[in-house]
Amino acid sequence: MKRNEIIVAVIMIVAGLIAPWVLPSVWTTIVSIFCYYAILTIGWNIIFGYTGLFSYGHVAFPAIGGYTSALLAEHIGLPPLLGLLAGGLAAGLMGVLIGLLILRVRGFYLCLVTWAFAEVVNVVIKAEHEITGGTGGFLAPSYVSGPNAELVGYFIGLGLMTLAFVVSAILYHSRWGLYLFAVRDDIDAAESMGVKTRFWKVFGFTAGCAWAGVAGAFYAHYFNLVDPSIGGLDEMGKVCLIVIIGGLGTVYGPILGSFFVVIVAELLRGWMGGYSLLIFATIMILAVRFVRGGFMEIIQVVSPHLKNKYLALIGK
Amino acid sequence: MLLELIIRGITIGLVYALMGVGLALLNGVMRIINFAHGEFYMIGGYMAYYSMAVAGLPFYLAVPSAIAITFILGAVVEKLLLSPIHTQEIEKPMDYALIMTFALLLFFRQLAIKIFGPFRHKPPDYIPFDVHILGVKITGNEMLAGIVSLLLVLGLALFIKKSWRGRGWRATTLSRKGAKINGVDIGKESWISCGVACALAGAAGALVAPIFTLSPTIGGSPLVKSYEVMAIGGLGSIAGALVAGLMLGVTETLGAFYISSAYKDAIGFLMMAFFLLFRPQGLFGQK
Amino acid sequence: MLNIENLNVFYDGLQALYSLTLEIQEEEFVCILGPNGAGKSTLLQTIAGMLVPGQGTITFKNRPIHGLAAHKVASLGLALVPEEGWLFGQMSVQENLLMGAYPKTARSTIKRQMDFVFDLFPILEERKKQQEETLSGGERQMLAVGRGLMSNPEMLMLDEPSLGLAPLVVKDILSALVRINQEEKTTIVLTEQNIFHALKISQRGYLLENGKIAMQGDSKVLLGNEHIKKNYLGI
Repeated sequence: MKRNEIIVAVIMIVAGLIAPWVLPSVWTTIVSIFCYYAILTIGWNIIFGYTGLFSYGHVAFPAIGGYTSALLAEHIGLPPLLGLLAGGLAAGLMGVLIGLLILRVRGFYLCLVTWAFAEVVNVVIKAEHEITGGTGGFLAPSYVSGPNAELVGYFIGLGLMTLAFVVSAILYHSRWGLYLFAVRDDIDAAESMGVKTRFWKVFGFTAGCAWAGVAGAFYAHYFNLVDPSIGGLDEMGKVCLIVIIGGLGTVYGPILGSFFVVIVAELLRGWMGGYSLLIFATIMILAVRFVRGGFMEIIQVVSPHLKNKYLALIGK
Repeated sequence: MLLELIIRGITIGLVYALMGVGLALLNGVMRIINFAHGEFYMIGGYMAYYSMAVAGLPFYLAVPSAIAITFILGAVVEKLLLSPIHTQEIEKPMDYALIMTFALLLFFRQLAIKIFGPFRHKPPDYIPFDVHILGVKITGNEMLAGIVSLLLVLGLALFIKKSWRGRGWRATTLSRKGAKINGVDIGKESWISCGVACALAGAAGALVAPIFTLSPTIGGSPLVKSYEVMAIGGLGSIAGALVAGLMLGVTETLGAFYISSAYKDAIGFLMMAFFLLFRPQGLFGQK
Repeated sequence: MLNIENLNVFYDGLQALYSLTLEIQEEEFVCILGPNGAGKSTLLQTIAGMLVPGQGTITFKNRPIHGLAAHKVASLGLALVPEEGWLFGQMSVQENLLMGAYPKTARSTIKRQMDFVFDLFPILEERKKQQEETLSGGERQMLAVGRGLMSNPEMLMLDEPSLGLAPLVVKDILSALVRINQEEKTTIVLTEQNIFHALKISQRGYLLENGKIAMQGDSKVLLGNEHIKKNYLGI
């Protein structure tokens, strides 16, 4: 990890610890949602940003993780904290299977296959309503019972997000990360240099899916409910948006992107009324059309000096 | 019963094919993933509805006007929002198109909720009587949707095979640089083909509006179906898309009846995944 | 016919051509020689409108064409046969040729041009209905030349048409170029690494080295030049 990354991680923890005492209580929920998306998109960033596999079925994995944890809690009474682990494992195992399957395809085809997988998962969840509760969702217990349940959940989310951030930062600077980048940038060259590209593809995919599973399990126990909508196409669009806005393949991308998409959108919601989504979509269209480089270009317009700092920060 | 299911499957399959060929065309000429394809279906449906219910046009004028409006809308969207893909050197055109078309999906859906309202609408029946085919009763609306879809798909196939412009589109699909040095104006062909693709989606939406009724969120399912059709038929193949649409329509209808209606939507995805993984060239493509 | 003055072209942020000036007369057969990476392809692609020059002017028949989009250049009677072919894999040979006549100005002479192409390369007529991707390397190159001719161009630019082909096929293609030049009076600009053949059939030549014109003159004179002999012909 680089010094900057450690500083950011520490700031995140400190700010997160202070937040519940200075901000209105609704903000613990919003920051928890932010944590969910940050963990989820850190996973996708490893899959697409690091390894170059355009998975459009990423949101199936939080669904798998969430339902696994909730079902285990219901039927065998697994404590939610272990459920996080179980959810991550289940999603990771499914990630290995799908990862092996998609070794056959590249690019656009990979995108469609993974999307198909996500939709099938969604259909199964809705169809097997006797097991999963169907579209209404499935109840999951809180981390602790009592009045502090939400606060505890919040801290768990904060901790998980920081952990995911630290792990992805370490991966970024490690030899393993180098293998993933080699697979992404020039798979033939990587192969000829002796990198086991098939292994690293599956590894990158699985790692990302496991984090998504953890995110899903966290979400289920925080909101006490997991329903099929977390695996929907809209959610996948949001994942792409977050990572690409924040900076694809960078350590900070998912965090920055989640911050803008979740927290800034929430700040703006108040005075937009029922038009928030429409305005959000319009801004998104205009931003993509006219400031193509995302925040990078906005920053450049505001101050060229700042841009260098930003670049240094995201490690490019 | 079996015959009835097959005939219903064929009817809906032809509409799927109509959605799929538009997407195949767009994917060929512009090489982008378009997530807003289903929204043009929704808009086409509403335009047909308003042409009939508000402007008082008969259905044989309402459907063409829906097609014309979605063509213009598609062309404008390409001109204003997607053209940077080929006029400027965008580093990651795929990402650009992905976010842009996703934003468009969100935009059109939200706009539709604001303009058309969240409630369901249904235009008057286009053909208000039932018809019997091989002893099976289907509604006039279904028959019309099937026949017009078939004609549009065949018309597009003929256009792409025989006309100069169609040949230029195919050439662009196969080699962009080759098309350019032979005089194909990719900027112009992009907005025309985008308009045509959107118009086909609009036509599909307008044709089935009296069958499925309208709401601002109906674009999701046809979007999914058109990707399935495109993947099964082989990317960019019109004939493949037609057969794939029929196959998908019939399999789904039979599957929903004999296996489980809850799993109906999984059938298409499983077929798509199977083809992409084990026969990526599609039904007719050669490797 | 073609005037290039003070042309500077940048490719991937690096300068590929340095204040290049050259002139090509009507009905000439000119070759542009030079080692790999000298800027030959860059030059032809810039003329054809595939690359935008940083500085300088290109005029074709007294009309400035620098910065003009490739599809517009194509309709002016200037055809490029690119090095990689840029052919259309899943189209038949005939459709590939028809694409060569895509500009509206070219569509009236399709039949005549196609007959001429089939006369030059009879094998293409035999393979008329076959898909491009089923052709051999030599046949592909013939098809690329044929497609370039379909627009009935006044000037045909060929980028290393002999690259990677068997000697016999190279001979066929080069002699076809001579026929095109003599029978159709088409101006020909040919880039080649195969310097000996190119100088044998052309009238004039330019030698490009590191993006600059190192030498120019009559082909016969160049063929006898010591620098060329020593560095490129290995004599």
